[in-house]
Amino acid sequence: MEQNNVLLLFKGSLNADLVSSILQLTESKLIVLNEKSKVKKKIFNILVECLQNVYLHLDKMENANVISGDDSAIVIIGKTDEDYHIITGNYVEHENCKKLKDNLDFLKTLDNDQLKEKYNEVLNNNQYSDVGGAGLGLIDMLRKSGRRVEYNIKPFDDKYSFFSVVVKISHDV
Amino acid sequence: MEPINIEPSVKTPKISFDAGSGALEIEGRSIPENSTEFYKPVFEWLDTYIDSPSGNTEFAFKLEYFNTSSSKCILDVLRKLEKLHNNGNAVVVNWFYEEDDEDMKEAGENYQRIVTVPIQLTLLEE
Repeated sequence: MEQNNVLLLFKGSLNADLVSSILQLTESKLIVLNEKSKVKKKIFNILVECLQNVYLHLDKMENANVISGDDSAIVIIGKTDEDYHIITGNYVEHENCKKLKDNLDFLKTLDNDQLKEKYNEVLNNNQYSDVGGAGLGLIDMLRKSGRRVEYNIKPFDDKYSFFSVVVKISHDV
Repeated sequence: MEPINIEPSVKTPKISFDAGSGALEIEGRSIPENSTEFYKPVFEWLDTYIDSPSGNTEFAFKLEYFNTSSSKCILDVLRKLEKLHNNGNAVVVNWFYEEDDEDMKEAGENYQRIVTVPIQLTLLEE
């Protein structure tokens, strides 16, 4: 992605206030860009899920800062001629990385109707995942983006990998 | 029964429930990190209300955004309204959406399929 297409770049540890700030900043950027309300809403919704996934995970990690200093998470929002890109990344233990990867690989094989079914199944099961999320975030991202979610895993050390997720949102949804 | 009035914040909606008139409304954004904590007093109020409700209950969801963690709490609210309805009380749920907001409309349709309390999808006038 070209430098001048980056709307927002954040590197560091995320807390609840920073999540709010990033959301507000993104909203005002989209207003300046005069983006359609439909697209704005999609971006906002997906960004909330991405940021809260990262935040809830970091909050659970005891040594997030020790392993990565100021780079414990990244958030990039970019715009190309065709799409908006939301990129979020953070350090994840290998074991959880595998779970995330397997879950995403599985969800990516589902079509829209199957995703909807899966969403309702998780919505109805009354359980919250160990980090306090509802386990619906990834399904929601896939549904709202039209199944345009990719991930990348970069091994870091014997315990952690850097897990990043890219969600693309078309300008004409 | 005391009404409940919670002012909106950056991540949480405005809540105004009036037991006397049966007009209950959730409006704005519901994107808290910890939605069960936010909705706890709402659930408690509804549990009490169900035991001595108004003759007519009209519940309005006027949401701009909600995160997936809130989606479970919304379902829990609807389950309580379903119970109220099953007890033989008049309950109407209005799910508002803006004209171009297909995702919000679809979310309402989805809840319609999950719960038995009647949910009306209503286009929000600008």
